[in-house]
Amino acid sequence: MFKSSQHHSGCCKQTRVAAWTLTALLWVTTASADWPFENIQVHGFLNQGLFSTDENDIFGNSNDGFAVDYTQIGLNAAWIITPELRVAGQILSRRAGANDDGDLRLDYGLIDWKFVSSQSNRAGVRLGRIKMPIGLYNETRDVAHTHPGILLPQSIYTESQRDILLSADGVALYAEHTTPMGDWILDVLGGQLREDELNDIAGNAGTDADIDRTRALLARLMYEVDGGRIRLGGYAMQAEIEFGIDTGSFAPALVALTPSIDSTLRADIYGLFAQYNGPQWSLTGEVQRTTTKIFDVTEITGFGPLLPDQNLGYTDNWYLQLTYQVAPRWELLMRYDESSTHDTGTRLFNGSVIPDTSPSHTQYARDMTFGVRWDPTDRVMLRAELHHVEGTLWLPGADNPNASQTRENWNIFALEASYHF
Amino acid sequence: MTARAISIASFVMLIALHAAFAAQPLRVIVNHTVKVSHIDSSSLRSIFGMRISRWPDGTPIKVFVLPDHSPLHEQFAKSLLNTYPHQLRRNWDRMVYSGTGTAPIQVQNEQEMIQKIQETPGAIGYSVVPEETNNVQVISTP
Repeated sequence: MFKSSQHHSGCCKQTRVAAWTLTALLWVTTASADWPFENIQVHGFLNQGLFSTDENDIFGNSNDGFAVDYTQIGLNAAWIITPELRVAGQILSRRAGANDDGDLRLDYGLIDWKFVSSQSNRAGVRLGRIKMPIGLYNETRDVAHTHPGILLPQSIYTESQRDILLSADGVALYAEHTTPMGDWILDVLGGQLREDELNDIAGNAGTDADIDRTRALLARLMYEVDGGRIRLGGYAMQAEIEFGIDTGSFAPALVALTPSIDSTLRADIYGLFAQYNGPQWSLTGEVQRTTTKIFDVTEITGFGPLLPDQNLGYTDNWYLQLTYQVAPRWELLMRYDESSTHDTGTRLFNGSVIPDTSPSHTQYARDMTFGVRWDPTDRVMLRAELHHVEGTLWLPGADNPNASQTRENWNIFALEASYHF
Repeated sequence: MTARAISIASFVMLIALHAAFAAQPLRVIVNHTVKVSHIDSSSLRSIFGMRISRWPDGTPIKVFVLPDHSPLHEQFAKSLLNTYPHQLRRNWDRMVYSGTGTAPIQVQNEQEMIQKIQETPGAIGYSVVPEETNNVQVISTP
Protein backbone atom coordinates (compact mmCIF):
# COMPACT_ATOMS: atom_id res chain seq x y z
CA MET A 1 0.00 0.00 0.00
CA PHE A 2 1.56 3.27 -1.05
CA LYS A 3 0.60 6.63 0.34
CA SER A 4 1.21 9.70 -1.76
CA SER A 5 4.59 11.10 -0.85
CA GLN A 6 4.95 14.46 0.82
CA HIS A 7 7.72 16.90 -0.01
CA HIS A 8 10.31 16.64 2.75
CA SER A 9 12.78 19.48 2.47
CA GLY A 10 15.04 17.83 5.06
CA CYS A 11 15.53 14.57 3.20
CA CYS A 12 15.96 16.14 -0.21
CA LYS A 13 18.59 18.56 1.08
CA GLN A 14 20.68 15.57 2.16
CA THR A 15 20.31 13.85 -1.16
CA ARG A 16 21.22 17.03 -3.00
CA VAL A 17 24.40 17.39 -0.95
CA ALA A 18 25.20 13.75 -1.65
CA ALA A 19 24.56 14.21 -5.35
CA TRP A 20 26.74 17.32 -5.53
CA THR A 21 29.59 15.61 -3.64
CA LEU A 22 29.40 12.52 -5.80
CA THR A 23 29.37 14.57 -8.95
CA ALA A 24 32.31 16.71 -7.83
CA LEU A 25 34.30 13.58 -6.91
CA LEU A 26 33.68 11.92 -10.22
CA TRP A 27 34.33 15.08 -12.19
CA VAL A 28 37.71 15.37 -10.53
CA THR A 29 38.48 11.72 -11.25
CA THR A 30 37.42 11.68 -14.87
CA ALA A 31 38.98 15.04 -15.62
CA SER A 32 42.40 13.52 -15.02
CA ALA A 33 44.02 11.63 -17.84
CA ASP A 34 44.58 8.48 -15.81
CA TRP A 35 41.09 7.06 -15.47
CA PRO A 36 42.20 3.56 -14.48
CA PHE A 37 39.10 1.59 -15.39
CA GLU A 38 39.00 1.08 -19.13
CA ASN A 39 35.79 -0.92 -19.04
CA ILE A 40 33.86 1.56 -16.93
CA GLN A 41 32.52 4.78 -18.41
CA VAL A 42 31.16 7.51 -16.18
CA HIS A 43 29.18 10.56 -17.28
CA GLY A 44 27.17 13.17 -15.49
CA PHE A 45 25.34 16.44 -15.79
CA LEU A 46 24.30 19.47 -13.76
CA ASN A 47 21.58 21.71 -15.01
CA GLN A 48 20.03 24.86 -13.60
CA GLY A 49 17.10 26.76 -15.06
CA LEU A 50 15.40 30.06 -14.39
CA PHE A 51 11.83 30.91 -15.41
CA SER A 52 9.82 34.10 -15.52
CA THR A 53 6.22 34.35 -16.70
CA ASP A 54 3.91 37.30 -17.11
CA GLU A 55 0.87 35.20 -16.20
CA ASN A 56 0.46 31.76 -14.62
CA ASP A 57 3.20 29.92 -12.77
CA ILE A 58 5.66 27.36 -14.02
CA PHE A 59 8.16 25.45 -11.86
CA GLY A 60 7.55 27.71 -8.91
CA ASN A 61 6.41 31.25 -8.48
CA SER A 62 7.59 32.44 -11.90
CA ASN A 63 4.86 35.06 -12.13
CA ASP A 64 6.19 37.00 -9.16
CA GLY A 65 9.80 37.30 -10.23
CA PHE A 66 12.01 34.38 -11.12
CA ALA A 67 11.45 30.73 -10.41
CA VAL A 68 14.80 29.02 -9.92
CA ASP A 69 13.46 25.77 -8.52
CA TYR A 70 14.54 23.92 -11.67
CA THR A 71 17.63 21.75 -11.22
CA GLN A 72 18.72 18.40 -12.57
CA ILE A 73 21.75 16.53 -11.27
CA GLY A 74 22.55 13.19 -12.81
CA LEU A 75 25.33 10.63 -12.73
CA ASN A 76 25.58 7.50 -14.81
CA ALA A 77 27.99 4.65 -15.19
CA ALA A 78 28.34 1.78 -17.63
CA TRP A 79 30.36 -1.35 -16.98
CA ILE A 80 31.32 -3.01 -20.25
CA ILE A 81 31.77 -6.63 -19.16
CA THR A 82 32.11 -7.88 -22.74
CA PRO A 83 31.26 -6.11 -25.99
CA GLU A 84 27.89 -7.87 -25.80
CA LEU A 85 27.18 -7.63 -22.07
CA ARG A 86 26.85 -4.33 -20.29
CA VAL A 87 25.46 -3.09 -16.98
CA ALA A 88 24.41 0.54 -16.84
CA GLY A 89 22.65 2.82 -14.38
CA GLN A 90 21.85 6.48 -13.81
CA ILE A 91 20.75 8.28 -10.67
CA LEU A 92 18.91 11.54 -10.98
CA SER A 93 17.89 14.30 -8.63
CA ARG A 94 15.40 16.72 -10.05
CA ARG A 95 13.64 19.79 -8.78
CA ALA A 96 10.86 21.37 -10.88
CA GLY A 97 8.75 23.65 -8.74
CA ALA A 98 5.90 21.70 -7.21
CA ASN A 99 6.32 18.94 -9.77
CA ASP A 100 9.45 17.29 -8.41
CA ASP A 101 11.11 17.49 -5.03
CA GLY A 102 14.77 16.73 -5.61
CA ASP A 103 14.74 13.21 -4.23
CA LEU A 104 17.52 11.02 -5.58
CA ARG A 105 16.00 8.37 -7.82
CA LEU A 106 17.18 5.56 -10.03
CA ASP A 107 16.49 6.89 -13.52
CA TYR A 108 17.55 3.72 -15.25
CA GLY A 109 19.38 0.56 -14.14
CA LEU A 110 19.73 -2.29 -16.54
CA ILE A 111 21.66 -5.21 -17.85
CA ASP A 112 21.99 -5.30 -21.64
CA TRP A 113 22.84 -8.49 -23.50
CA LYS A 114 23.32 -8.33 -27.25
CA PHE A 115 22.79 -11.89 -28.44
CA VAL A 116 23.01 -11.19 -32.16
CA SER A 117 25.98 -9.13 -33.32
CA SER A 118 27.06 -9.07 -36.94
CA GLN A 119 27.91 -6.48 -39.55
CA SER A 120 24.32 -6.02 -40.67
CA ASN A 121 22.25 -7.31 -37.77
CA ARG A 122 22.14 -6.70 -34.06
CA ALA A 123 19.58 -7.87 -31.51
CA GLY A 124 19.51 -7.92 -27.76
CA VAL A 125 17.54 -7.80 -24.55
CA ARG A 126 17.55 -5.37 -21.62
CA LEU A 127 16.32 -6.12 -18.13
CA GLY A 128 15.69 -3.69 -15.33
CA ARG A 129 14.58 -0.08 -15.26
CA ILE A 130 14.61 1.12 -18.87
CA LYS A 131 13.97 4.55 -20.39
CA MET A 132 10.86 4.51 -22.53
CA PRO A 133 11.58 4.98 -26.23
CA ILE A 134 8.79 7.44 -27.06
CA GLY A 135 9.29 9.84 -29.95
CA LEU A 136 12.69 11.43 -30.55
CA TYR A 137 13.57 12.91 -27.18
CA ASN A 138 11.95 11.02 -24.31
CA GLU A 139 14.89 8.80 -23.45
CA THR A 140 17.13 11.74 -22.55
CA ARG A 141 14.52 14.38 -21.76
CA ASP A 142 16.14 15.27 -18.42
CA VAL A 143 19.61 15.70 -19.95
CA ALA A 144 19.54 19.32 -21.07
CA HIS A 145 22.37 19.34 -23.59
CA THR A 146 20.97 16.41 -25.58
CA HIS A 147 17.82 18.13 -26.84
CA PRO A 148 16.92 21.49 -28.36
CA GLY A 149 15.11 23.91 -26.08
CA ILE A 150 15.07 24.43 -22.33
CA LEU A 151 11.53 23.09 -22.51
CA LEU A 152 10.85 20.20 -24.84
CA PRO A 153 7.68 20.55 -26.92
CA GLN A 154 5.18 20.46 -24.09
CA SER A 155 2.40 18.97 -26.22
CA ILE A 156 4.17 15.63 -26.42
CA TYR A 157 6.79 15.84 -23.69
CA THR A 158 4.37 17.25 -21.12
CA GLU A 159 5.95 18.07 -17.77
CA SER A 160 2.96 16.86 -15.80
CA GLN A 161 2.94 13.48 -17.57
CA ARG A 162 6.69 13.06 -17.48
CA ASP A 163 6.60 10.78 -14.45
CA ILE A 164 4.40 8.16 -16.06
CA LEU A 165 6.36 8.01 -19.30
CA LEU A 166 9.88 8.26 -17.95
CA SER A 167 11.10 4.71 -17.55
CA ALA A 168 9.56 1.34 -16.84
CA ASP A 169 10.64 -1.67 -14.82
CA GLY A 170 10.59 -4.66 -17.09
CA VAL A 171 12.16 -6.07 -20.20
CA ALA A 172 13.01 -4.60 -23.57
CA LEU A 173 14.01 -6.17 -26.85
CA TYR A 174 15.90 -4.30 -29.53
CA ALA A 175 16.91 -5.13 -33.08
CA GLU A 176 18.89 -3.30 -35.76
CA HIS A 177 19.21 -4.11 -39.41
CA THR A 178 21.75 -2.23 -41.52
CA THR A 179 21.30 -1.95 -45.28
CA PRO A 180 23.29 0.13 -47.78
CA MET A 181 20.27 2.45 -47.94
CA GLY A 182 19.80 2.92 -44.21
CA ASP A 183 19.34 1.39 -40.78
CA TRP A 184 16.16 -0.04 -39.29
CA ILE A 185 15.91 0.09 -35.50
CA LEU A 186 13.17 -1.57 -33.49
CA ASP A 187 12.54 -1.19 -29.75
CA VAL A 188 9.89 -3.11 -27.84
CA LEU A 189 9.34 -2.65 -24.12
CA GLY A 190 7.02 -4.23 -21.56
CA GLY A 191 6.91 -3.56 -17.87
CA GLN A 192 5.52 -1.66 -14.94
CA LEU A 193 5.34 2.11 -14.64
CA ARG A 194 7.17 4.02 -11.95
CA GLU A 195 4.96 3.76 -8.92
CA ASP A 196 7.21 6.13 -6.98
CA GLU A 197 6.56 8.79 -9.61
CA LEU A 198 2.86 7.98 -9.91
CA ASN A 199 2.39 8.48 -6.20
CA ASP A 200 3.90 11.93 -6.65
CA ILE A 201 1.29 12.77 -9.29
CA ALA A 202 -1.52 11.61 -7.02
CA GLY A 203 -0.07 13.64 -4.18
CA ASN A 204 0.22 16.72 -6.41
CA ALA A 205 -3.43 16.31 -7.38
CA GLY A 206 -4.32 16.34 -3.71
CA THR A 207 -5.76 12.85 -3.62
CA ASP A 208 -4.92 9.83 -1.53
CA ALA A 209 -4.48 7.15 -4.14
CA ASP A 210 -3.12 3.62 -3.82
CA ILE A 211 -1.55 2.27 -7.00
CA ASP A 212 -2.48 -1.41 -7.21
CA ARG A 213 -1.06 -2.38 -10.58
CA THR A 214 0.51 -0.78 -13.61
CA ARG A 215 1.42 -2.07 -17.03
CA ALA A 216 3.02 -0.53 -20.09
CA LEU A 217 3.64 -1.91 -23.57
CA LEU A 218 5.53 0.12 -26.12
CA ALA A 219 7.01 -0.40 -29.58
CA ARG A 220 8.99 2.07 -31.70
CA LEU A 221 10.34 1.60 -35.21
CA MET A 222 12.90 3.99 -36.71
CA TYR A 223 14.54 4.28 -40.10
CA GLU A 224 17.80 6.24 -40.32
CA VAL A 225 19.75 7.28 -43.39
CA ASP A 226 23.47 8.17 -43.27
CA GLY A 227 23.68 7.70 -39.52
CA GLY A 228 20.84 10.14 -38.87
CA ARG A 229 20.76 12.68 -41.70
CA ILE A 230 17.17 11.60 -42.16
CA ARG A 231 15.24 9.92 -39.35
CA LEU A 232 11.70 8.63 -39.67
CA GLY A 233 9.67 6.59 -37.29
CA GLY A 234 6.56 5.79 -35.35
CA TYR A 235 5.54 4.28 -32.04
CA ALA A 236 2.53 2.84 -30.27
CA MET A 237 2.06 2.54 -26.55
CA GLN A 238 -0.53 1.32 -24.13
CA ALA A 239 -0.35 2.08 -20.42
CA GLU A 240 -2.72 0.91 -17.70
CA ILE A 241 -2.95 2.06 -14.12
CA GLU A 242 -5.17 0.32 -11.59
CA PHE A 243 -5.67 2.36 -8.49
CA GLY A 244 -7.96 2.95 -5.55
CA ILE A 245 -9.06 6.24 -4.03
CA ASP A 246 -10.45 6.80 -0.57
CA THR A 247 -13.95 8.13 -1.34
CA GLY A 248 -13.88 10.53 1.57
CA SER A 249 -10.89 12.43 0.16
CA PHE A 250 -12.26 12.47 -3.39
CA ALA A 251 -16.08 12.75 -3.25
CA PRO A 252 -17.30 12.93 0.33
CA ALA A 253 -20.94 12.91 -0.80
CA LEU A 254 -20.50 9.37 -2.08
CA VAL A 255 -18.91 7.92 1.06
CA ALA A 256 -22.19 6.30 2.07
CA LEU A 257 -22.32 4.44 -1.24
CA THR A 258 -18.76 3.05 -1.11
CA PRO A 259 -15.78 3.72 1.15
CA SER A 260 -13.26 3.46 -1.67
CA ILE A 261 -13.37 3.74 -5.44
CA ASP A 262 -11.21 1.42 -7.54
CA SER A 263 -10.71 1.93 -11.25
CA THR A 264 -8.40 1.27 -14.15
CA LEU A 265 -7.16 4.04 -16.41
CA ARG A 266 -5.82 3.18 -19.84
CA ALA A 267 -3.92 5.51 -22.15
CA ASP A 268 -3.28 4.62 -25.81
CA ILE A 269 -0.59 6.73 -27.41
CA TYR A 270 0.32 6.73 -31.10
CA GLY A 271 2.94 8.91 -32.72
CA LEU A 272 4.95 9.58 -35.86
CA PHE A 273 8.14 11.59 -36.22
CA ALA A 274 10.46 12.83 -38.95
CA GLN A 275 13.72 14.70 -38.85
CA TYR A 276 16.17 16.09 -41.41
CA ASN A 277 19.66 17.02 -40.21
CA GLY A 278 21.66 19.19 -42.60
CA PRO A 279 25.15 20.58 -41.98
CA GLN A 280 23.82 23.66 -40.25
CA TRP A 281 20.12 23.26 -39.83
CA SER A 282 17.71 20.60 -38.61
CA LEU A 283 14.01 20.31 -39.25
CA THR A 284 11.96 18.15 -36.89
CA GLY A 285 8.27 17.30 -36.69
CA GLU A 286 6.20 14.97 -34.54
CA VAL A 287 2.49 14.18 -34.29
CA GLN A 288 0.80 12.24 -31.52
CA ARG A 289 -2.65 11.20 -30.41
CA THR A 290 -3.41 10.08 -26.86
CA THR A 291 -6.73 8.48 -25.92
CA THR A 292 -7.73 7.78 -22.33
CA LYS A 293 -10.35 5.36 -21.07
CA ILE A 294 -11.59 4.36 -17.66
CA PHE A 295 -13.02 0.98 -16.81
CA ASP A 296 -13.62 -1.61 -14.09
CA VAL A 297 -14.79 1.03 -11.65
CA THR A 298 -16.20 -0.03 -8.26
CA GLU A 299 -19.85 -1.00 -8.41
CA ILE A 300 -22.60 0.68 -6.42
CA THR A 301 -24.96 -2.01 -5.14
CA GLY A 302 -28.08 -1.99 -7.25
CA PHE A 303 -26.72 0.44 -9.84
CA GLY A 304 -23.60 -0.97 -11.46
CA PRO A 305 -20.19 0.67 -11.72
CA LEU A 306 -19.95 4.19 -10.26
CA LEU A 307 -18.52 5.20 -13.63
CA PRO A 308 -19.46 2.94 -16.56
CA ASP A 309 -16.60 1.89 -18.87
CA GLN A 310 -16.03 4.87 -21.17
CA ASN A 311 -13.62 7.01 -23.16
CA LEU A 312 -12.52 10.09 -21.28
CA GLY A 313 -11.39 11.96 -24.38
CA TYR A 314 -8.40 12.34 -26.62
CA THR A 315 -5.56 14.79 -27.10
CA ASP A 316 -3.91 15.71 -30.40
CA ASN A 317 -0.35 17.01 -30.31
CA TRP A 318 2.10 18.16 -32.95
CA TYR A 319 5.08 20.43 -33.37
CA LEU A 320 7.44 21.71 -36.03
CA GLN A 321 10.93 22.75 -35.03
CA LEU A 322 13.85 24.36 -36.83
CA THR A 323 17.36 24.70 -35.43
CA TYR A 324 20.12 26.59 -37.21
CA GLN A 325 23.80 26.51 -36.37
CA VAL A 326 24.68 30.11 -37.09
CA ALA A 327 28.31 29.70 -35.92
CA PRO A 328 30.34 26.66 -34.72
CA ARG A 329 29.13 27.03 -31.11
CA TRP A 330 25.90 28.97 -31.57
CA GLU A 331 22.50 27.56 -32.41
CA LEU A 332 19.16 29.27 -32.98
CA LEU A 333 15.82 27.59 -32.28
CA MET A 334 12.37 28.24 -33.65
CA ARG A 335 9.41 26.02 -32.81
CA TYR A 336 5.63 25.92 -33.10
CA ASP A 337 3.89 23.46 -30.81
CA GLU A 338 0.16 22.77 -30.64
CA SER A 339 -1.90 20.63 -28.30
CA SER A 340 -5.66 20.28 -28.03
CA THR A 341 -7.81 17.99 -25.96
CA HIS A 342 -11.36 16.83 -26.52
CA ASP A 343 -13.14 15.82 -23.35
CA THR A 344 -16.29 13.80 -23.69
CA GLY A 345 -17.50 14.56 -20.19
CA THR A 346 -17.84 11.87 -17.54
CA ARG A 347 -20.89 9.58 -17.45
CA LEU A 348 -22.09 8.50 -14.03
CA PHE A 349 -23.81 5.33 -12.88
CA ASN A 350 -27.17 7.10 -12.82
CA GLY A 351 -26.95 8.11 -16.49
CA SER A 352 -26.06 11.75 -15.89
CA VAL A 353 -22.99 13.31 -17.45
CA ILE A 354 -20.58 15.54 -15.56
CA PRO A 355 -19.39 18.12 -18.08
CA ASP A 356 -15.92 19.58 -17.85
CA THR A 357 -16.30 22.99 -16.24
CA SER A 358 -12.70 24.15 -16.63
CA PRO A 359 -12.25 27.39 -18.60
CA SER A 360 -12.07 26.77 -22.37
CA HIS A 361 -8.47 27.99 -22.54
CA THR A 362 -7.40 24.96 -20.49
CA GLN A 363 -8.35 22.67 -23.39
CA TYR A 364 -5.61 23.75 -25.77
CA ALA A 365 -2.15 25.29 -25.94
CA ARG A 366 -0.30 26.93 -28.82
CA ASP A 367 3.34 27.74 -28.18
CA MET A 368 5.64 29.80 -30.43
CA THR A 369 9.20 29.50 -29.18
CA PHE A 370 12.41 31.36 -30.04
CA GLY A 371 15.68 30.36 -28.47
CA VAL A 372 19.45 30.68 -28.67
CA ARG A 373 22.09 28.24 -27.47
CA TRP A 374 25.80 28.83 -26.83
CA ASP A 375 28.32 26.09 -26.06
CA PRO A 376 31.40 28.04 -24.87
CA THR A 377 33.23 24.74 -24.24
CA ASP A 378 32.52 21.12 -25.08
CA ARG A 379 31.14 20.64 -21.56
CA VAL A 380 29.26 23.86 -20.87
CA MET A 381 26.00 25.01 -22.42
CA LEU A 382 24.05 28.24 -21.96
CA ARG A 383 20.55 28.85 -23.31
CA ALA A 384 17.88 31.50 -23.40
CA GLU A 385 14.41 31.24 -24.84
CA LEU A 386 11.08 32.95 -25.11
CA HIS A 387 7.71 31.22 -25.39
CA HIS A 388 4.58 32.99 -26.48
CA VAL A 389 1.75 30.72 -25.39
CA GLU A 390 -1.99 30.81 -25.94
CA GLY A 391 -3.91 28.31 -23.87
CA THR A 392 -2.96 26.45 -20.73
CA LEU A 393 -3.49 22.78 -21.56
CA TRP A 394 -0.03 21.70 -20.41
CA LEU A 395 0.38 24.25 -17.64
CA PRO A 396 1.54 22.16 -14.66
CA GLY A 397 -1.41 21.70 -12.33
CA ALA A 398 0.90 21.29 -9.36
CA ASP A 399 2.15 24.86 -9.82
CA ASN A 400 -1.35 26.16 -10.60
CA PRO A 401 -3.84 24.34 -8.35
CA ASN A 402 -6.72 26.66 -9.24
CA ALA A 403 -7.52 26.34 -12.95
CA SER A 404 -10.00 29.21 -12.87
CA GLN A 405 -7.21 31.60 -11.89
CA THR A 406 -5.08 30.81 -14.93
CA ARG A 407 -4.84 33.23 -17.83
CA GLU A 408 -5.22 32.30 -21.49
CA ASN A 409 -2.32 34.28 -23.00
CA TRP A 410 1.01 34.12 -21.31
CA ASN A 411 4.73 34.34 -22.04
CA ILE A 412 7.68 32.45 -20.60
CA PHE A 413 11.23 33.75 -20.47
CA ALA A 414 13.74 31.08 -19.51
CA LEU A 415 17.50 30.82 -18.99
CA GLU A 416 19.52 27.70 -18.49
CA ALA A 417 23.11 26.74 -17.71
CA SER A 418 24.37 23.20 -17.89
CA TYR A 419 27.62 21.30 -17.36
CA HIS A 420 28.11 17.75 -18.53
CA PHE A 421 30.94 15.27 -18.82
CA MET B 1 66.84 39.92 -52.97
CA THR B 2 64.36 42.70 -52.79
CA ALA B 3 61.69 42.74 -50.10
CA ARG B 4 59.15 42.17 -52.78
CA ALA B 5 60.91 39.08 -54.09
CA ILE B 6 61.16 37.68 -50.55
CA SER B 7 57.48 38.16 -49.93
CA ILE B 8 56.57 36.53 -53.25
CA ALA B 9 58.87 33.61 -52.47
CA SER B 10 57.34 33.21 -49.00
CA PHE B 11 53.89 33.33 -50.48
CA VAL B 12 54.73 30.64 -53.03
CA MET B 13 56.29 28.48 -50.30
CA LEU B 14 53.23 28.86 -48.14
CA ILE B 15 51.01 27.76 -50.98
CA ALA B 16 53.28 24.79 -51.67
CA LEU B 17 53.26 23.81 -47.99
CA HIS B 18 49.50 24.19 -47.78
CA ALA B 19 49.09 22.10 -50.92
CA ALA B 20 51.41 19.48 -49.42
CA PHE B 21 49.33 19.27 -46.24
CA ALA B 22 46.07 19.39 -48.11
CA ALA B 23 47.29 16.62 -50.31
CA GLN B 24 47.90 14.49 -47.21
CA PRO B 25 44.86 12.28 -47.26
CA LEU B 26 42.90 11.57 -44.10
CA ARG B 27 42.93 7.82 -43.61
CA VAL B 28 41.28 5.34 -41.33
CA ILE B 29 43.91 3.54 -39.27
CA VAL B 30 43.71 0.39 -37.19
CA ASN B 31 45.96 -1.55 -34.86
CA HIS B 32 48.21 -4.05 -36.65
CA THR B 33 46.35 -7.01 -35.07
CA VAL B 34 43.19 -6.11 -37.01
CA LYS B 35 42.93 -8.52 -39.96
CA VAL B 36 40.93 -6.18 -42.18
CA SER B 37 42.21 -4.19 -45.16
CA HIS B 38 39.04 -2.58 -46.47
CA ILE B 39 35.87 -1.28 -44.80
CA ASP B 40 32.82 -0.17 -46.79
CA SER B 41 31.12 3.12 -45.92
CA SER B 42 28.08 1.53 -44.33
CA SER B 43 30.22 -0.55 -41.96
CA LEU B 44 32.44 2.45 -41.20
CA ARG B 45 29.32 4.40 -40.17
CA SER B 46 28.17 1.52 -38.01
CA ILE B 47 31.57 1.20 -36.32
CA PHE B 48 31.86 4.89 -35.47
CA GLY B 49 28.15 4.90 -34.58
CA MET B 50 29.14 2.37 -31.90
CA ARG B 51 26.83 -0.28 -33.32
CA ILE B 52 29.31 -2.99 -34.32
CA SER B 53 31.33 -4.34 -31.41
CA ARG B 54 33.69 -6.94 -32.87
CA TRP B 55 35.94 -7.42 -35.90
CA PRO B 56 35.21 -10.47 -38.12
CA ASP B 57 37.81 -12.49 -36.19
CA GLY B 58 36.08 -11.74 -32.87
CA THR B 59 38.44 -9.10 -31.47
CA PRO B 60 36.55 -6.32 -29.70
CA ILE B 61 36.57 -3.04 -31.62
CA LYS B 62 37.94 -0.03 -29.68
CA VAL B 63 36.91 3.24 -31.32
CA PHE B 64 38.99 6.41 -30.86
CA VAL B 65 37.99 9.92 -31.94
CA LEU B 66 39.34 13.46 -31.71
CA PRO B 67 37.34 16.23 -29.94
CA ASP B 68 34.17 17.40 -31.70
CA HIS B 69 35.58 20.78 -32.77
CA SER B 70 38.92 19.52 -34.05
CA PRO B 71 39.24 20.34 -37.79
CA LEU B 72 40.52 16.82 -38.48
CA HIS B 73 37.49 15.27 -36.79
CA GLU B 74 35.21 17.49 -38.84
CA GLN B 75 37.00 16.47 -42.05
CA PHE B 76 36.76 12.80 -41.06
CA ALA B 77 33.02 13.02 -40.33
CA LYS B 78 32.23 14.77 -43.61
CA SER B 79 34.54 13.01 -46.06
CA LEU B 80 34.55 9.48 -44.67
CA LEU B 81 31.24 9.12 -42.80
CA ASN B 82 29.08 11.54 -44.81
CA THR B 83 27.83 13.12 -41.60
CA TYR B 84 28.71 15.97 -39.20
CA PRO B 85 30.39 16.10 -35.79
CA HIS B 86 27.28 17.33 -34.00
CA GLN B 87 25.22 14.53 -35.56
CA LEU B 88 27.70 11.93 -34.32
CA ARG B 89 27.71 13.55 -30.87
CA ARG B 90 23.90 13.56 -30.72
CA ASN B 91 23.81 9.84 -31.49
CA TRP B 92 26.50 9.01 -28.92
CA ASP B 93 24.83 11.19 -26.26
CA ARG B 94 21.49 9.52 -26.86
CA MET B 95 23.05 6.15 -26.06
CA VAL B 96 25.27 7.30 -23.19
CA TYR B 97 22.54 9.13 -21.26
CA SER B 98 19.87 6.45 -21.73
CA GLY B 99 22.02 3.44 -20.88
CA THR B 100 21.60 1.93 -24.32
CA GLY B 101 25.20 2.22 -25.49
CA THR B 102 28.62 3.78 -24.98
CA ALA B 103 30.62 6.56 -26.60
CA PRO B 104 33.97 6.23 -28.36
CA ILE B 105 37.15 7.01 -26.43
CA GLN B 106 38.18 10.62 -26.98
CA VAL B 107 41.84 11.52 -27.46
CA GLN B 108 43.19 15.04 -27.30
CA ASN B 109 45.36 15.25 -30.42
CA GLU B 110 46.80 13.32 -33.37
CA GLN B 111 49.88 12.15 -31.47
CA GLU B 112 47.70 10.57 -28.80
CA MET B 113 45.47 9.07 -31.50
CA ILE B 114 48.40 7.34 -33.21
CA GLN B 115 49.79 6.21 -29.85
CA LYS B 116 46.46 4.66 -28.82
CA ILE B 117 46.04 2.90 -32.17
CA GLN B 118 49.57 1.52 -31.89
CA GLU B 119 49.17 0.08 -28.39
CA THR B 120 45.49 -1.02 -28.29
CA PRO B 121 44.52 -4.35 -29.90
CA GLY B 122 41.39 -3.98 -32.02
CA ALA B 123 41.70 -0.17 -32.13
CA ILE B 124 40.35 1.98 -34.95
CA GLY B 125 40.78 5.71 -35.52
CA TYR B 126 41.76 8.20 -38.17
CA SER B 127 44.76 10.36 -38.98
CA VAL B 128 46.90 12.01 -41.61
CA VAL B 129 49.70 9.43 -41.96
CA PRO B 130 52.49 9.95 -44.47
CA GLU B 131 53.43 6.26 -44.47
CA GLU B 132 52.83 3.09 -42.47
CA THR B 133 53.89 3.66 -38.89
CA ASN B 134 54.87 1.01 -36.34
CA ASN B 135 51.95 -1.26 -35.46
CA VAL B 136 49.51 0.92 -37.40
CA GLN B 137 47.76 -0.27 -40.53
CA VAL B 138 46.04 2.00 -43.01
CA ILE B 139 42.62 0.88 -44.14
CA SER B 140 41.29 1.50 -47.60
CA THR B 141 37.81 2.96 -47.70
CA PRO B 142 35.52 3.72 -50.65
